[in-house]
Amino acid sequence: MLELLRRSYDATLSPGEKERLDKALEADIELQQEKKHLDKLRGLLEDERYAFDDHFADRVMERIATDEKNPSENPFLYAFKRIALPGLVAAVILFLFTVFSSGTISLDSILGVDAVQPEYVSEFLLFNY
Amino acid sequence: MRNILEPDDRKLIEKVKKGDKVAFSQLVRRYEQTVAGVVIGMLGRCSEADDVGQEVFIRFYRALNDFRGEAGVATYLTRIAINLSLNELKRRQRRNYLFVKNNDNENPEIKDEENRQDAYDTKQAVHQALQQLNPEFRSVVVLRMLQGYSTKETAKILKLPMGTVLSRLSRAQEKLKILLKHIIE
Repeated sequence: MLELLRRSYDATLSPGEKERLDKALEADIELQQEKKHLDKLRGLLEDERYAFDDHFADRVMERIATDEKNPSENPFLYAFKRIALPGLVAAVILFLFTVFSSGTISLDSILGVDAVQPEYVSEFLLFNY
Repeated sequence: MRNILEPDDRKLIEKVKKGDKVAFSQLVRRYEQTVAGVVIGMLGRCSEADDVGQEVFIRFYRALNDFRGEAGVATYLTRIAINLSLNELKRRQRRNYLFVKNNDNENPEIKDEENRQDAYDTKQAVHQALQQLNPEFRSVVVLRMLQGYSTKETAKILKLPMGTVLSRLSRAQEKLKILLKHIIE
């Protein structure tokens, strides 16, 4: 019945539940006492009022103005600048180096395996593993 | 979707979208108490509460162009405020992990002398009791009992099933009753 009483504050009870609770409240002094405590507790909580310190709106507007002056960087753009961009630069340098040193732009020459024949690889694997 | 914005809010939001900062500061003034209720209720009276409160409005400001008014401004701000407060509590928990002991199993009644002194001030005692609840219980109490949202709205804001909200409310009340025994009995 105690659970039903607690639930009655936050949910709609069915007619049957409501009737049971009303009857129990009439007869049970402990339950009446419990209801009194819950009414008081909820009253205390409803009366709680909080406020920020004075000039809160001014502080918010100041922060907005500061943010607009110094916009924080998009995290993806930041990651791109820190990781992808240096990687891209390195790839371009490697590509140019390969083109100038071997005179070709094949994948083999970029990977440095243009002088390796497929037979060498299969023989190597056959005799060593 | 139905637009449920108050006419005044709609006008102010339109002005803000056109670059009117004064209109935004009016919105901040109008809703700062709503946000304070959630943030201070969740975090207590501390400097982080002010920072989180500011962050709530800054996020709102940044999202205004996408804000279509499907929820009222107060509900929208409450949703941001509760999420940022829960994030702040998690951060705080991580920071204090090694230094703060878990007091879940202790007798929760407010006992020490300093707190007893404070308890003369009922409001202070209620605030302290609220801060002793676990965040998951505190959030339902703040929304349902302090902010006055219905159980259904509370469930929607916290993205929880109604049954979970009801059971958390029941358990939170039980703990608050013990914590505030000296006031309510």
